[in-house]
Amino acid sequence: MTTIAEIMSRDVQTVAPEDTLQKAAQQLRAMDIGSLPVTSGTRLLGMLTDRDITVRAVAEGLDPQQACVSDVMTQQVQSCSVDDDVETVMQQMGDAQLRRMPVVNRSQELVGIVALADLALKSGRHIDGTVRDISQPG
Amino acid sequence: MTTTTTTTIGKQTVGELMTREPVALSPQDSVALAARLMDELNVGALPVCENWEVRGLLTDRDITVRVIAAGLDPAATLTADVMTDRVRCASAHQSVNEVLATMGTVQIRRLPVLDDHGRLVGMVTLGDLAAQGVPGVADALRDISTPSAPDRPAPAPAAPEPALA
Repeated sequence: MTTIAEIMSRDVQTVAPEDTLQKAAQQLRAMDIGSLPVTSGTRLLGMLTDRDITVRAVAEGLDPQQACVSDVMTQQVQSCSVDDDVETVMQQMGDAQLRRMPVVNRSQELVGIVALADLALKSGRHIDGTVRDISQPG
Repeated sequence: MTTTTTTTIGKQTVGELMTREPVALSPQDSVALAARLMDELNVGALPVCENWEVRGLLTDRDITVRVIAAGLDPAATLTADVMTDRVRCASAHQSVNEVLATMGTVQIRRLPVLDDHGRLVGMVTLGDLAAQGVPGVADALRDISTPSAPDRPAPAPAAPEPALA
């Protein structure tokens, strides 16, 4: 059984809750990704996505140079454990409609991140079901 | 859902599976308005049209990287200034298989759908196809997904979408 620890990326870029949205947006741009874990030290506080910035800040008229990550991040973070098996996590990502999921250790510290592409590359089974679950029509 | 088997779903046209009655932005709409519309409609991308002819596509990613990261004021920035203006579109008559292949090849997961007069009649996304149980969606998603480790060999970066054929 393949565990998440074997396929996740341990080189996790993060953003701080007090960073401004402009700075966070610049980080998303520089890294060419759509989501970032928000951490304080190694403690996982939330996730920040392009969508959060767009619908929670821009749509609300917040100033990106004043508003900070903690104002718009998603706090209830779906995460998985290093010990979880890949099948379990695929199901979880499907249920939660996530393409990237942070990985925590037994002390709840952020230790890695896993993307749907990683699962797709390493396990060809049952991907269609997961994709169906995470892909919203329209 | 009809009784067609999975092998025939791919031969259906996108006109049959697309999301109809699409909402479109005008090129003159502000990015702030576009963001409110995305919030209200719960979508991440909107086509930009003049007289229902597609002029571009605007996504929440465009707003994040081209407006917010760049320090522009969303209320003072026009959709036309930050949208992707060379947008690959599908014809309503194209088969699902063909559209899926296009999505994988050009690394995009949504396409505006046009009628015979070149006017916008719908949107089709990878999600629409996945929801209908179209086989091959996983391959297309893998082609357009970036693995989590930046230093890992990755698919070619998404190029700007080619001009309307």
